[in-house]
Amino acid sequence: MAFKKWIAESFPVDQEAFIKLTAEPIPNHLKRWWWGLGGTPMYMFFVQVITGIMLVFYYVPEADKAYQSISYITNEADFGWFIRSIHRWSSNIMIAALILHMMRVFFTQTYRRPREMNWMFGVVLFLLTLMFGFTGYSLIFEQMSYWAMKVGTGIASATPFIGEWMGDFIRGGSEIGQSTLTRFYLFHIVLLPMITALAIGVHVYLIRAHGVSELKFKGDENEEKKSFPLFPDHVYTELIMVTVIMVILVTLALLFPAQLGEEANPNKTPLHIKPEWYFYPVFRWLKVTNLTVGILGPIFFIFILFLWPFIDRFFEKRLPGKEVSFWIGVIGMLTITFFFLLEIIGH
Amino acid sequence: MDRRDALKSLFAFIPLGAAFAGITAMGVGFISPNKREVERRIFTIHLDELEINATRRFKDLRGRDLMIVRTGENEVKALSTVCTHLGCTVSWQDDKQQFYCPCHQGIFDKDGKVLSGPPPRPLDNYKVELDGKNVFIYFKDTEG
Amino acid sequence: MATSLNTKRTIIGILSIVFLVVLLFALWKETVRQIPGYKPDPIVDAGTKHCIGCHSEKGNGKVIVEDWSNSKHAEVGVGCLECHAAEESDIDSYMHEGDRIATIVTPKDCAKCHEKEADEFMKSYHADAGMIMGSLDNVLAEVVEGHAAFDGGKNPAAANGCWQCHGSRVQLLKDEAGNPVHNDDGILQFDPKTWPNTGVGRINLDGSNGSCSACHNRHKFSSAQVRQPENCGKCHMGPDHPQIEIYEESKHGINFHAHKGEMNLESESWIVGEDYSAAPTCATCHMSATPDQPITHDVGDRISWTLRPKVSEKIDVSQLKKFKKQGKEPPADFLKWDERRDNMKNVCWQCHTKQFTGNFYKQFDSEVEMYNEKYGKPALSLINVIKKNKMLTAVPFDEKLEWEYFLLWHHEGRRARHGASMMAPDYTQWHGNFELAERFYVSIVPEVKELIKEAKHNGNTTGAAEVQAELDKILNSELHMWYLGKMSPEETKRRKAAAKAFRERYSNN
Repeated sequence: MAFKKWIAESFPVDQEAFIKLTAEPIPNHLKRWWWGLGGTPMYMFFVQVITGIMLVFYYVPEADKAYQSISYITNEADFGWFIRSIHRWSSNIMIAALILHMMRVFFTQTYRRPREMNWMFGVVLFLLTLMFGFTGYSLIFEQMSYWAMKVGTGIASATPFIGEWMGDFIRGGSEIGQSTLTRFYLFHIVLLPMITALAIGVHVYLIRAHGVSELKFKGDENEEKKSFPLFPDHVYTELIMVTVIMVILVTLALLFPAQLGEEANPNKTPLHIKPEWYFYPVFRWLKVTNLTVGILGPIFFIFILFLWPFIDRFFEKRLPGKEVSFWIGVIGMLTITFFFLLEIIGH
Repeated sequence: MDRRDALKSLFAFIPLGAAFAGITAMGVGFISPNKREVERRIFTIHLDELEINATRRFKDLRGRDLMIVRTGENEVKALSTVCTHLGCTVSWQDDKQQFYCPCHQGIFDKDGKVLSGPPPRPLDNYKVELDGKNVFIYFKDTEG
Repeated sequence: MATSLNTKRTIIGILSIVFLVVLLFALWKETVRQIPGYKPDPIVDAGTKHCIGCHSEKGNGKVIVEDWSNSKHAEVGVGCLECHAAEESDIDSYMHEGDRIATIVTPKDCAKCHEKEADEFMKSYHADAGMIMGSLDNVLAEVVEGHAAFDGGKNPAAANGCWQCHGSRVQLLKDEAGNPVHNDDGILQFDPKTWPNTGVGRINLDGSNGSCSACHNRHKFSSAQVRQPENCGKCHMGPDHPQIEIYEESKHGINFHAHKGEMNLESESWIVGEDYSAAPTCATCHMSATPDQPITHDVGDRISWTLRPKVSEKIDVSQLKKFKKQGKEPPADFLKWDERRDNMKNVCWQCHTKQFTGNFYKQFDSEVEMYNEKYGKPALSLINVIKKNKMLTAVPFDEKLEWEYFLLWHHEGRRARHGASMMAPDYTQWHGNFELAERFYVSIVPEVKELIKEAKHNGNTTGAAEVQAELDKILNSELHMWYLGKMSPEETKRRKAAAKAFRERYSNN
């Protein structure tokens, strides 16, 4: 027991405080599976970090070697195709889960006071995840990667006022080249993970600090206990979620492994440039409007999204009981879906 | 928790643990470097150029130091001249019909067997193939 | 709706097992992973790495290294020095960045690993192709068409024409003192008219004959490339031996092009009837393996006739004559013509019946024999009598008859025979027999009559009489008597009736 004593002395931990912090009871509505949509992206962030670190073992961030290194991973390294496919699918599902999570929070109005700041951190997390997707896809340096970089940085450059500086900063110059790849690599494996990890930490802390909103659903009124224990109940729930996600990821990796297109060729623009699916609405919007409106539109949208708790409060005060937020949300979803579908079926 | 409960927990969590162990093993396999081995058949000499019991030294045959001995009518041995002690190059002493390593005075006979000194094992043999009268040696190269 | 702890635990258990199962699938997929067409980087040893260090960075070497990297040689570790390394005793060797190398790789070098193929090739007619010095064709190129001594001996017609298929005699470039010339990078220079050259019968500086890269294009050395008929067509084409055109006309060629995708050209083993069956290529019949025969690089092993000369003979007769002239004994494995025909029949029998094959050979033989009897031998005997009686000048190709005769046997005579050999009816007929007849009756016979007249005029009555006698003998023979209106009355009547019936059916006039 001298050993235990030594541990307690050199690494003091307040056991009671620890238990209190982690074993806090979970409100009953979290038994509903719909509420797992917050933990899902967080778990997938961990999956991305781990698979991402593995991929860094072989990826070479040099313009004339990047594609070849991905080819090595996909075709030669043991289980390379598998790890890469999980990384790819996990990124897609993470964004899908995030969108569903945002929808859940939006339509249950759990962004309301005092949770406005947490909502804003959430929007930031969403944007960070989109940037993860964009930078990661470019690192492959196949044709689609290169031209996505070209279009993406072109859009950035066209932003009013700060456009030129922003474009040059992202590109590492006025042209896409090695410095662009280095920057994208830096963003993808260092800056974005760091900022995202911090933002996740703040987001989770705020959730715990505020306590999860207690909501009542039909059929719950007769329940005595308003909460249930973290361990083992909620842990089991989380484990189920984790296992389901793993099964889905592995199955998708098996059935639809990540492919490798043609190597990037700055002299040959492919006939159909398309970004990843989560950029379709914006992409379509840019096609139907002129450049300025095309850029200001999404900026405006993000602005609204970011400040939504306050806009919602404004409507609540002016038009109480009219459920304005709900309808704005519905219209917003329909519009985005419309543009999304347009991009899929259009050309 | 009673015994039944404990058993149920085991049935639930052992597969989960195994699955995660499995995927971890796959990950470790992934990040472990792949060694590729290629066996190459290198032409050395035509038998007509080598009398029985004669030797021919190759100082840098595709990066290797070796010696071949025609031990019979249709028998050739190929010995590596890298000392099995610490890797110095042994020299052939024709008068004594032995290999001598100057680094720590290891001595091998003409078959590569250790006669004296610190070398722990005989000189390495290369696989030899006779294709008609052409003597081929098999080299193993690894990359990765 | 709360899920009880128990239920949750059961769900975890079930899901974990599902997880394990899909993971096992992933493991299985990994073990059977085969990526077709993906070739890992070749493993190179220090020697080749040294060469690639410079040659993959600058100049034409980049393409050569790229080609080689995708080849079978690279896969098995045969790099630059394995082929290009040379001994000091090689007169075409030179030092280059620390290695002694030779530019040209000859069959002797390839024989280090491909001994059987090189031996078979070097004893074949292909390797002999460079021995055309002194042939009539050679005279044509160096004297009649071109000028061997042109611009200091550049021999343009031969260097650009004949030698590019037949092979040059490789020579080093020498300065006035007779020493070999090196350029600024130390590279040994060749006499430009002799190199570049991948003629199949090239005479090399190391004493060997032939060039493997005549067919096996470097540096890919691809089996698929060499199995394709286009490969042979580089040389085996044209008015005097249109083998590739004949193949394209034939059903074999049509099938090849229609079903090229099923030819399994990249396969390691390429046995007709086992690895592919859609069509034969040149290689299939003349060289490649059947279930009963190995590959042979001696293209004469399955040939029964030689269709090249003025009068065709069986190939063993022709070869034995050659050995006798050279004072050599035929090798122990020398095949007789019928043995070679059996070898060829073995290929045919992979797809065709014995009756089919046997009857084909009867058709083919009859064409060759008819050519011999109607045109080959008669024309040759005419020329011989004319020459004997000095009715032609000593200079070849300065008189009309010499050209006409050359074209008769060298062009249309070969076309007719080759056409029949590979089932190309149009070549046999309109490019072959028809033009043979035209040449013979429209050009040669009148020209001979002219020469007779001229001889009489010059007082060479013996000559005139002998030639006239020979001409009469030929024209009165069964094959030619129609020309003199001497067709038998029964046959004439029969033909007239058939022609009348034909006209009544088809034409308006």
